[in-house]
Amino acid sequence: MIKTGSTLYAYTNEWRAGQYTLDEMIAKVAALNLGPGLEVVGFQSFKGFPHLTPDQIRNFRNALESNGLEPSCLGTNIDVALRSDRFLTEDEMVDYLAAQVKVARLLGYPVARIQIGATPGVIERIAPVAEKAGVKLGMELHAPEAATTPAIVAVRECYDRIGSEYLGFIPDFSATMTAVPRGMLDQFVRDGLPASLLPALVEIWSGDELPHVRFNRFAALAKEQGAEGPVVDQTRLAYTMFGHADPQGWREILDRVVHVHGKFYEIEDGTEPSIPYAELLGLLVEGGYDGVISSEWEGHAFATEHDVDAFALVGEHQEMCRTLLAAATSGGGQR
Amino acid sequence: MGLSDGVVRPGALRRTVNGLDLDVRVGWYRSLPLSSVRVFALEVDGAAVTPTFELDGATYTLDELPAFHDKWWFVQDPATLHLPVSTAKSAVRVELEIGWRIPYIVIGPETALVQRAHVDMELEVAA
Repeated sequence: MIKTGSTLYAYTNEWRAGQYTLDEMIAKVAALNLGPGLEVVGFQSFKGFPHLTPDQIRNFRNALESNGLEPSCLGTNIDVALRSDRFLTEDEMVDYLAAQVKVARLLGYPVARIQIGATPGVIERIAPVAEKAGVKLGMELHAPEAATTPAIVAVRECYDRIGSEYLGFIPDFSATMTAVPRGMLDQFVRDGLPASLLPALVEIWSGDELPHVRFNRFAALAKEQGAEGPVVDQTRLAYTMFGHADPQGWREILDRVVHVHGKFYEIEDGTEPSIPYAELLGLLVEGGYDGVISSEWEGHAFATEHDVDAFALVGEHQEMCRTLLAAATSGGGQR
Repeated sequence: MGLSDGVVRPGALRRTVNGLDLDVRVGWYRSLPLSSVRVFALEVDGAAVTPTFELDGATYTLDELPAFHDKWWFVQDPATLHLPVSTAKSAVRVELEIGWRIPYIVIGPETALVQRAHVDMELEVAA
């Protein structure tokens, strides 16, 4: 049975504004019934992460339990450019990640999100740490990557070689979008991009070249029409944040899904206009996924807490997911 | 736009015995190491200012920040820039160009993304 959930990342605007402490935000998620899954990004939600005090760990576990929430996934990062003088070595990357996997276990998390920064060499050495901790590692498949891009195919081969059930994937629906969100386009124009360039921006976005190639093509065209500098540079985001891989590509990794990032930007009339949720959730049901979908609103890229109530929008997203999951479940004859 | 909003918020500027204190927040969604912080430019009423940087009770010169990869700027905590500026005005114009190296987003060989924020605000000077 697929469950809904919140990631506190969705409430980044409210968090940065200091409107809530961690305890208060957890209580708010529960009060608005935006669980039961509860995901956090370690470096966002915990001061001192990953070196947490016994009090921090106890308080967090108590807060989830007393609010009836379930730990779903802990977001980790490999800060390879932590130092100013050089990148981390592979030994340092493994140590850096191992500390986060161990704290995931202490916080009660069954899954830790890892990112493409985890090289095959790191994955090979971190797998035994994950097994010992009883924490599954899910590599986030996020735009501009997707299940079938070369970098991820290399990870799949690495997983095959290691053969551990503690290695999996976290589809992020940013990889399989059908449009650039309206709010993003509006923000580009507010920040000075001539609105007359939007049709070209979107048409070039839908092409198949690598993101930087498409951006360069758009920038060249914008320059011909007299637009350059920061107003054009900002649109690079559209080419890197939003991927348009075929949703059916998720089939390649469906049996290794350990968590899902229900990325979304806008809900209009009960649907996400830029992300094909009916098809995506249908695939998850068909593949027998039975974990959590975190409602991951990322509109904070273009909207502030004054523009959008992220809690209300997550509620609408979860309502949409419940409706589509029920339809997919009955449509597929599964119970 | 987006995460670069809210780096300096209304009410962030205070008068002190040594000048002005300016509260600054992380322009990203998560905590970042001090080694990632770079102040490119700071002007008060058009005059360049070299501040010191205070966080969690420790004060650094801007040149010292790159070495502190083991000190973290928690995303909910403001850092305070100490500005050696003597003014009796009740409001001043603050222009700040600040950036953070995003340590897990690699965009080229030995190169990580730098997120920049440009602040240009007329701020009241609180007592």
